[in-house]
Order: sequence, then structure tokens, then C-alpha cells
Amino acid sequence: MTSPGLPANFDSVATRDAIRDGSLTASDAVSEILGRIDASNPEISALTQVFHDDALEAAGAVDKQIAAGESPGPLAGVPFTVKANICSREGVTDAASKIISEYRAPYEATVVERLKNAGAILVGKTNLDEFGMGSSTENSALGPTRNPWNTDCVPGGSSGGAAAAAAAFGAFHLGSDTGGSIRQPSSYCGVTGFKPTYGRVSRFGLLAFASSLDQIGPVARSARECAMALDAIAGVDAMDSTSADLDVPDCLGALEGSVEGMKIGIPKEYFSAGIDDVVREHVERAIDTFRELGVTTEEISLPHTEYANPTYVIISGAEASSNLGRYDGVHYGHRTPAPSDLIDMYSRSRGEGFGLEAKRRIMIGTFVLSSGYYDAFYLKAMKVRRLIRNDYEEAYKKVDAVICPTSPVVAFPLGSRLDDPLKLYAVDILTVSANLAAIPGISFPCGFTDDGLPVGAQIFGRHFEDDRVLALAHAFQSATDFHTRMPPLAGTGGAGS
Amino acid sequence: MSIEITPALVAQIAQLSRLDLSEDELAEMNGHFEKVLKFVESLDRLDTDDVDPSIFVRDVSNVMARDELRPSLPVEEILRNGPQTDDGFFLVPRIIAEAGESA
Repeated sequence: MTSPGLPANFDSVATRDAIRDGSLTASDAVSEILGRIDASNPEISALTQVFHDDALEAAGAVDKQIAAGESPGPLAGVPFTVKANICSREGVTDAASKIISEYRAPYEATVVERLKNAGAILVGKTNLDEFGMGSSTENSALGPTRNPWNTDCVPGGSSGGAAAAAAAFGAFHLGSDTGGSIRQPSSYCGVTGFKPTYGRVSRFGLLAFASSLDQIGPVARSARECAMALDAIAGVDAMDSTSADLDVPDCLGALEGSVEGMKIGIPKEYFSAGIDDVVREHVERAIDTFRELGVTTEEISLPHTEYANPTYVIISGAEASSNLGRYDGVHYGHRTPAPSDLIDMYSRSRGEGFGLEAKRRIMIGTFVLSSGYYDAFYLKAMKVRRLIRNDYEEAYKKVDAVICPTSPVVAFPLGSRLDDPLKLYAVDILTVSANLAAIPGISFPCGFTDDGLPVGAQIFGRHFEDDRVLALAHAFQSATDFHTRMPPLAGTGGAGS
Repeated sequence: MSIEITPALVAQIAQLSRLDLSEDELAEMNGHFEKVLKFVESLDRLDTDDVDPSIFVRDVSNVMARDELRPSLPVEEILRNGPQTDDGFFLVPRIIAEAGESA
């Protein structure tokens, strides 16, 4: 039963507005989303933790503030979740890994703190591939998440829990994106996922995977909700020296500006062999929609595209091997029983605690950084990263943004790519370059296959032009209704209920 | 660069990584290394002699923290996550031998 005043699709902006104008209480908003989660989460395992009591208590406090005439913040009463690699005072921050399954963060991520200060209510944490390493949310120590559009299929990854939650329950969800981990699952789940420019959002309190690539960003049904969430979390943070000390635009306000006259580039390399026909067709139709909106297009070339994924595998592995060195059985996490000495304690604790994919990345990373191989692999990859950045710098002299598919394929069946990790890495081929070039990128639904699986299109922008990227996706969503469709799950108000 | 992946090399990397791997895992890693090397070999085609490595993605100089006192996190909250603690300290296996013992 939907509360009066609550939007059926649980749009976060509409929820905020309904609480503001008094037609909905924060408590009703939070009760409603908890009800949806309780009804449908067992089918899809998008959330691995739900904070019923804390969330209802926080909502009650917001309602009291409103009743007393106080200002409870710009996002008062709006529910959200975070991926379980983002630190919160509630619950555990386990990154879906056995090695820190009980970790209770003694501090809160800046993004969580900012959202709570804005009055938003944390209702739970979402599943992921261990430490963000994967593209299917099957590498989770807590078991896989399932795609709400077809529960035999993966939701994508690594923020598969966040994307599945946005599709199944509405509201907005914070994920993290190292090589496509927000955008690719958003594509598979038919929702909108935004990776901000590197440095736009503080990474303080995000368990690091690859520090030069990681970025936190929102996932929701619409670009409008993503813009609202980004406005609340963006901006310089003294706790993250890589956060950019630049003015933050009003992304929600900038959505209403016209996109007419903007020019988007169509990179020929992103439409070549290896892209499923159904994906290419829907993205090409999306490009036609942009033309109808007055956007001009131009074919461009990003000549180093084919080198992005190998470069990513080397750099992300190298940084992961260093970042995951902290899980050593000393300060937190799993420690092997009765170790013979210190080295034995490190090696056995890590051998027992990490999952196979995390071990693979650590091993590759250690290898490419080790004496004798550093120049041939790591240094080489950092040089190619420069060439990939240069490609975008050249392109952005001619165009304002770039459009392409998010993933070469749509959601695939669970288990179908697990036997060969390289087959799984291949689905990142269209997303990793945005991380290597540190540019903003968004994925948004642009169609469905005959089997009812969503197809995602992707737009990249210039550094710190996050607002224009969001405005382009919003313009598309103002002219189409793909983002409003809901999957056939119980308790979601979707076709099956 | 042509590199032969041998069990000895994989075992050495596992040791450097401080990962105690089972025989099955070591064999799996051997195959994985071969696949990854093949996956990244295309980079050799690019002439990068005159390319500056991209070390940091934005052009910023050192960011300094403000020199001001701030409270640290409560010790008991930090220790709460420790697998073995005692009296305000993390406990680890002995690193230095006592006199007369071999380490």
C-alpha cells in the first residue's frame, strides 16, 4: 500500500518535495521503502544489510524537526543506501569480503556524513563484488545479487546491489566506480548511474581499490535524482587531498538549461565489432533522439580505445595490490588461528580471508610492480594512460561530450562468465577509459531487448563538466520513458504486483 | 617482452603478496598469469619512448593539511576491530627473539 503523497516509482526528488510540502512524512517515506525492501529483497539480494530501527528513528527525528518549524536540511527524510565498501556508523563495512566481515567503521565516509547532515536517511547497505572487483556481483562473500528484470541474470557489477536496488525499490543509492562499477550495472538494471569527474566527490571512507581510478557516485532511476544526490555529496574535503578545490555547480538547477546546440561526438571505435547488434541499434536510436533535441553530432576517433582495458588491468591491479596490503590480520579483520610467526600470520590470514578474484588482482598487481617487470608493465601502462587522456583532450576540442554504449552486451545469465575472468573483464571495455582519463560518465536506459532486458547508453563529458553530462541525460529522459519502467517484482508497484 | 610463467615465478609472487595459496590456487594463478600477459601484450605495439607517464590525473601540486590540533578517534573504537588486543595495544606474534632463543 503506497502512502498518500508518495510517488509510485519512489522518485527521490518527488519524495523530497512531498516531505517539504507536508504531503508526506519522513517516517512514512522510510516505512514505505523498508516495506518494499522487505517484500522484494529476498528475491534479488540487492541489500545485504537493512537498518530498520536506525532509519525509522532518524526519520522520526526529522519529522519532529519539521513539526517544530526547524529546517532539517535540503534532503530531509529522503532515504538512501550505500554500497558496503563505504563506511557508515550503522552496520558493518565488509566490502562483501570474508576478510573484514565484522568490520565496524570507527568513522563515517564524507559522503554519508554530508547526506545525513542534509537530512537524508541511510536505510541499508548494498551488495558488491568483493572490494569492487568484478562486473557481475557474483564475487561476493555474501552470495550474488540478481537482476530485478530477470532473476536468472546478473545485475552487473561491482555496484550490482545499488543498481538492482534502484530498479526494484526506487530511491537513490551510492556506489563506487573504478572501471565502470556504477555505469555497467546501471545499464544492466535499466537505471541511471553517474560516475563524477575524479576529484569531484571525496573518497574519504571509501575502502580503496585503485585510488587513482575510484570515485563515488549515485545510482537512481533518473538523471534528475542523480543530480540531486551529487549536489549533496560533491565538493572539496580536507580528509581527501585528491578532492578538487573547485566551485561545485548546482547540477539539479543546471538540468533545466537547454542542450540545444551542444555537440556530441560518436567515437567509431566504440561501435565496432564486439558490440551486440541490439545494443548498437538502441544506442543509435538514442543518438537520433538527441538530434531531435537539437544536439549536433560528429563522428570522432579515440584511437587508443583498444588499449584501455589492458592498461586498466595493469594499473588497477598495481594499485589494488598496494591498497589491499592493509588487510594483514593486525588491526582489523580475519586473523588465522595459531600462526607460527608474523609472516605466516600475514600470509595465512590473507590466504584464508580474500576471495579468488581479489587474490588474482593482488597477484597481478604485485607482479607488474615487482623488480624486473615494473618498466615493461606498470610504467608502460602509465604512459598509455597518458595517450588515452590525450585522445579525450583532442576530442573535446571538437565536441562537448561523447556518446557510446555502456556495455557491449546486456545482462548475462548467472555463472555464464565465471569460468574465465578474462571474459568478464571484456564487458568493461567501454567504461574503463573514463576512469583512466578521470572524466565524468553516465549510463542511462535507452531501450529494452525483446526479452525485456534493459540496454544502456553512456555519455562522457569534459573534466568537471558533470552538470552538462547530467543535463544531457536529463534531456533524453524528458523525451523518453525508458527510465520510468519498473521491473516485474513483487512489492515494487511494477508489472508483477 | 616475452616472459615464461613458471610455477616458481607464481610462487615467488604469492610470497611477495603475502598470500598463502593452495596447490589448486597456484595452478589457477599460473593459467591466469598466462591469460593476462596475452591480454596486455597489445601495449607492446605502442611506441611510448617519448610519452610522459600519467602519474596523477590532475595537474595539482602538493596539498597541505592545516596545521591544527584535532582529536584523534577514540582508542577503544579502533581496538574494537582488532583480532587480538590487550591494554590499549594490538597483539601480534613475537617478532624479536629473547636472548638465547633463535627467532
